[in-house]
Amino acid sequence: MRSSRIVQHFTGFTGFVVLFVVWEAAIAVFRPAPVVLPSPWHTFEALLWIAHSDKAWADVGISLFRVAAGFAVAIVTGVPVGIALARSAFFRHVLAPTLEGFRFVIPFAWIPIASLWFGLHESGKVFITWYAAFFVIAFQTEAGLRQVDERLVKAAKTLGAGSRELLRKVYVPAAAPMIVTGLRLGLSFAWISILAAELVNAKAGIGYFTMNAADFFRSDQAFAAMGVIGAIGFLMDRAFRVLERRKFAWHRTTDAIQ
Amino acid sequence: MQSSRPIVEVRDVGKIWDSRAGTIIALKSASFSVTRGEFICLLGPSGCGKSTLLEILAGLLEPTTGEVLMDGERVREASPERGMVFQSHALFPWRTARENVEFGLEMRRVERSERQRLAKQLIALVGLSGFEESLPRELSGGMCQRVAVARALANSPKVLLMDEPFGALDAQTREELQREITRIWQETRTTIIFVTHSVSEAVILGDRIVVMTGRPGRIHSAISNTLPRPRDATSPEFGATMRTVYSALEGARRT
Amino acid sequence: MQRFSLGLLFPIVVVAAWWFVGASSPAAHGVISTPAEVVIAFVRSAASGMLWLDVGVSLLRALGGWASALVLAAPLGIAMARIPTLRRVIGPVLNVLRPISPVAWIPVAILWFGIGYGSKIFIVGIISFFVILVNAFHAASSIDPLLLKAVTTFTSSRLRTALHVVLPASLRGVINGAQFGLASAWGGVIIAEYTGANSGVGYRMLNAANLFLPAQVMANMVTVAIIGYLLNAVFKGLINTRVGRKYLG
Repeated sequence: MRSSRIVQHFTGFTGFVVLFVVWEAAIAVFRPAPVVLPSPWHTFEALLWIAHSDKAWADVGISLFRVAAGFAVAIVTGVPVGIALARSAFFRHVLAPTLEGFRFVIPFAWIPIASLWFGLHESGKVFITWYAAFFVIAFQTEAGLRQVDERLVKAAKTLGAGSRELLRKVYVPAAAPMIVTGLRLGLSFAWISILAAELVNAKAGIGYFTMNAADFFRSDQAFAAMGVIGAIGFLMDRAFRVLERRKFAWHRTTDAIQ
Repeated sequence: MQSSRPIVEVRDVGKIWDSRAGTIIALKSASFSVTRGEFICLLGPSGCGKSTLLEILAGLLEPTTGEVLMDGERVREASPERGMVFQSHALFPWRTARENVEFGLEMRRVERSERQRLAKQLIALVGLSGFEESLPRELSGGMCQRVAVARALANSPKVLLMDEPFGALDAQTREELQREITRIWQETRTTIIFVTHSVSEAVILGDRIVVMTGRPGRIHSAISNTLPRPRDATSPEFGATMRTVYSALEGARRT
Repeated sequence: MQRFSLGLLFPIVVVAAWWFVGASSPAAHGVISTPAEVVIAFVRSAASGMLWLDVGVSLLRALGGWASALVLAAPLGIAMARIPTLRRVIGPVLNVLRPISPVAWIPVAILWFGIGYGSKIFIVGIISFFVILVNAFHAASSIDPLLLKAVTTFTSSRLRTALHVVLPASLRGVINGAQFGLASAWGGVIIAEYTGANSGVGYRMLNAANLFLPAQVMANMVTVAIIGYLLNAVFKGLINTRVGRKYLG
């Protein structure tokens, strides 16, 4: 187990090394203007500068706040909706077509109208991140509940479980792995969407920072910021996967019921 | 025999399914009784409705006609009084063996230390001491079924319903568990209604073998099995009983 | 039939409420307009040809980026799955670049390619590239080893093995990747057109928002959804034709 983690880190490290090598080679061969492609070292220096800049940290913080707020509301709204979709045929027939329809209206498409409605106000950004996370959370919750093995439910009934206990002690734990996958995906969609929203209509945030850097031809800062963005996205995903691995170890065998 | 009144009475139970393919008569006029403490086997080929009958006995299904009485009262819903063990163990995969066994006790709001004590006791009863903290995926099929039995017994059910519980196991494990369930039955004297399609299994386990036939599912006859325990599957008496059962099955098939 | 009408219930209620609020309150009207005006805006831009022009430009960019990505990523993904050396060299680099959302590439893309077609195609390309690559890689690395062993009884040529076993077996995965990639491509071109563009559906939408024309914006949102749906439907339709069914079963 530990050796595979070392291999993972090793390949990550190798990736950076190869990337740097190819990068430097490209600069040596094509000789682009520094504004077009800064050297890895300049990018690294810009990264250090960002790490020391309060403003940059504030930008990252604001982006994360926007994501967290929208994500939290998406959980609070999405999970109950998913539960309702799974348990009530009536609810499903009424709501599912509309929700499915909105799947095709991607979060990106809401950015202009949100800027019209909310201007630069934070609620506009939170709306976008909520929208990005809500659907996948609701649908994953529904799917998770619907794939619960009926035999588990029967068994619980013969053990004296009432309907409330069935929900809490059978359906939710059985559906939990899929629900958490939904959360992981929702978070990553929210992260991507907030970046997009900040490129278009913001005065703060890491997305805005990147755009601003490019506007001022500070490509070293722009690249460094991209690295930060990638790192944050990676860490968020990784955190969820670790959580999934730990708490859902029981789920590993696809046929827990033979 | 202790009490004269049967613990379970099945009266004219029928089950009809309406589907797009037409009406299916899963069960037709099934009637029999079970005495307290008896180990009774429902034997029949696939599709004869024995699992349906068992679910009706459990209260998981409602009969279309007829009724099931337990201790004189009509069975309307599932209850821990009628514990059930399924063919696929149906253990909660996110709970350890002990937590699975504790489930019924949790439903009855038994206090934690008492729960754990009882669960440990039951796990010892089914011969799995030491495996309390294992997850189902870490246990073999046979071990999971033992946990399933312990889980059902945790509620001190009046009747234990078992639906081909050893069907998915290999022959050796099956024989071992047959011995185990006999031992557990002898120790707890729970009434057991056991569904199987294997004649030898029915003769090994049952005091009485109810022979069923299918399409539509109905009860053909009941054969008394008075062989003394422990039962030797190689003895001539065993063979004779098996022949009796086989001919009953044959007869059932032809009607 | 009853189920169908139930499904319409919610949208009808929402549209009715929208209409009412938009029509009765001037303040609200400036923000959400009315359904009728959205339809009018849509029809007007279709009639004037602007809709088609915008859609055409955006589609061109999206399909261009997607096709380029497909041509690069599909073979690369398959090759990486079957050639360990390649995987070990290129894999780590791609794994470092992958978490960087394509959206984050937009400022740099504008810096490099300006506000014309180039930056949009580049962004769409990045989005589609990784999606297709991952799917192709997955498919090519989960080929049943028994199949591969069976082939060795016929030929020892790696090329033949590749052509007759690896490619067909990976095809399903590549198609899936292409389908997801197409959806992502359409979304990607929209976001790319928000920032630094002067044509295309995305540009038109943002422009309308800046001019406080909610009806126009929403008409464009509907366009985005419709085109997205159509792209998916057409793609699935093409897959299901005789060609698709013959090779994919």
